[in-house]
Amino acid sequence: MESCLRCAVAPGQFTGEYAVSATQSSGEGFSLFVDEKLVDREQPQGAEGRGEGWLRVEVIDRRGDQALIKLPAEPLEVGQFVTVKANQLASQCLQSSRR
Amino acid sequence: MILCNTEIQKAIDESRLIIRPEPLPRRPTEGKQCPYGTHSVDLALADEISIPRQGTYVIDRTRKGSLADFLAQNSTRVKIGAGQGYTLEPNQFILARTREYVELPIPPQVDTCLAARIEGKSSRARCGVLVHFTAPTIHPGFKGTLTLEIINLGPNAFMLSREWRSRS
Repeated sequence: MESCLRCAVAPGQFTGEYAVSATQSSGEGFSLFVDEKLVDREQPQGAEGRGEGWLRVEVIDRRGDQALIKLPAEPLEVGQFVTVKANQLASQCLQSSRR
Repeated sequence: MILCNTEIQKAIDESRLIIRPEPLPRRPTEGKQCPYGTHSVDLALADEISIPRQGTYVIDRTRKGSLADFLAQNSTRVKIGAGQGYTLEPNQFILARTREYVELPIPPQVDTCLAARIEGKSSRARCGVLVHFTAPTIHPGFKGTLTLEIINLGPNAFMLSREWRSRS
């Protein structure tokens, strides 16, 4: 099931790419590069194009206040499947900024 | 199992492998370079590369949650114009991307799906230029352009151009 993960968004290494970071339920962070089409950004953006947004992810399982998700690409620090707090997820990304 | 060129083309026809734009021509054609080898297809370099900036920083993977942003902040994007190139100096490392979008779908009702590998070419390796020397596997389910790690370990500069091809 597709869902959206709250994340911090910054420009990536290439045009059309974002550097996205978020937090696991353990409190440890992770970061990855993703196609900009997979991210809905909140407005306004901060300095140097930084800001908050929502990353499209696949929810594999939910238990209590935690959710196991599959990220659209492998993060630089951990594997592609991570556990996050369920309250970091939303069933819909920002409709207004959808491409 | 490694697919031969006609099996690669069949996989494209059946949407088990998606490459956009599709590499053409499928057969050797007079006046055109065929991108297919016996068991491979060549992909081209996109018009943008990313050059890591040298600095006094240390890349620290234990700083969890900020590495992607850190790498992006410490790299510079460079466009390669049509008919132009980029001179890769000895010992220089850059990131590049393929012009082609590649997708390896995982169909819900099918037992098997495809993975792929990115490889450089031996002609470039003889010049000391290595392509994608780590993590060459394109996993099932991948979709996007391929990011290439390119380094020149040779003694001479090497010209990268948009006609420059890697193999997958």
